[in-house]
Amino acid sequence: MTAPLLSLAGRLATSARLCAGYADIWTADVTLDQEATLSGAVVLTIGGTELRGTIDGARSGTFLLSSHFRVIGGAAGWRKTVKARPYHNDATLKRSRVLADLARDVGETLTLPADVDASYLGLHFVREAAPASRIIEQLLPSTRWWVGFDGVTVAGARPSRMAPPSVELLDYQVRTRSALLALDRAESVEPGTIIRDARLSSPLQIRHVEIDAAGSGLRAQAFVMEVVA
Amino acid sequence: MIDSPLFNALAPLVRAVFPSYDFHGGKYRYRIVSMSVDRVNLQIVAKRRGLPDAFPVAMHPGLAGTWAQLALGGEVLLEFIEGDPTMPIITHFAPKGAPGFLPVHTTIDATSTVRLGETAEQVIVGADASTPLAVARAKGTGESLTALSVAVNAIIGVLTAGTPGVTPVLATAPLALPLVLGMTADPSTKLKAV
Repeated sequence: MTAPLLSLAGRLATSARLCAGYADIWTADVTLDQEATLSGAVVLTIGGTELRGTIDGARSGTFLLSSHFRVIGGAAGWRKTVKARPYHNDATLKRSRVLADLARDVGETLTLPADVDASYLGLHFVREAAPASRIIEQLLPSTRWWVGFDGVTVAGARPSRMAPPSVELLDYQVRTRSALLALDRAESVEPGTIIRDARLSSPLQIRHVEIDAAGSGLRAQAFVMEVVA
Repeated sequence: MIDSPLFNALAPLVRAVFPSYDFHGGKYRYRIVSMSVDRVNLQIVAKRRGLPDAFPVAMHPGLAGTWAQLALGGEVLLEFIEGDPTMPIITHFAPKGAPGFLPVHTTIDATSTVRLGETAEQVIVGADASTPLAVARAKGTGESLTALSVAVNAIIGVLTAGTPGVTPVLATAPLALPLVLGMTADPSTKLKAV
């Protein structure tokens, strides 16, 4: 297994820890062995995977010739507070319209399921001044949404892909439903990925993963759910 | 006010568990900007509450068959059915003495009978007890029904007035159903006019 190429905004990084949940916004803590000033949208490269996110200035800085950055998936917009805004349409308000406005207001790119307007929203929607993530929960209370490594927010279930052969199951703690994995690309273990192994009684689906990247390779601690074979 | 790193980290998480918390049970003060046919355009009074301004909202006054053209500038209370931000309604109106207490028009209606003061000793229409437009009292109390009938005619236009000195006939044409004032719905019950 080759050492992963680890970089942030084109600068070599010494380590990174990436956390991604099944219905969540991924974050990454990245360390550079140089003083650097970064802000705004960046590309984080782990192995061959490019992750598009935004620097969280409140959790980034420099100390003793090292720089530490928190990167938030997408445009880091879902935490922003949007202005209050009323919606009304006597011919039935479309959920997709309210969501599109919301995403645009916070600079995020949002992909919606095809049937997003199939269920009745009503004639009104009172958008309160609140974090955008709260508004999306109000509009899609039973739909999971997540930010992909490409920085795009997706509403709907994550695809269930099979893990490639390069992902190796090193250990599995049955009690805590956690698996230790070796991999070469971060995208190989995105939440939703199915792991099959002859040593397992049933396949495992990754629900949350924490990937540690350093010079020696990639390791992932995955919290999993057993699924039907 | 608690201000600690742990609290500040946990508070948004707890709040995120209840995304519609602000819409549950709260009553928000809104000012009447205009009427939009049967609904009301509103402006929030306390902007710090984080809710938006005007949008056409229906009235749910709690009494069936009532509607009012509200006085502009008055305050109402807004609530959300089932705590749902898609279902705002007006539930309360200005209290007595407050601006906008009196609406411009009020409608009280029913498909069968509108009954006022069924057990009341008297029903007063207009002004107050000292300078009434009309007073009706139940049988044996000796008060005039005629003026009341005339007043109700003027307001509703559906009740035929009786003649002074005679027992009035309620609900002759054009109203097919009786409007009964200060008495039971039994049409045989009489009010005595003097």
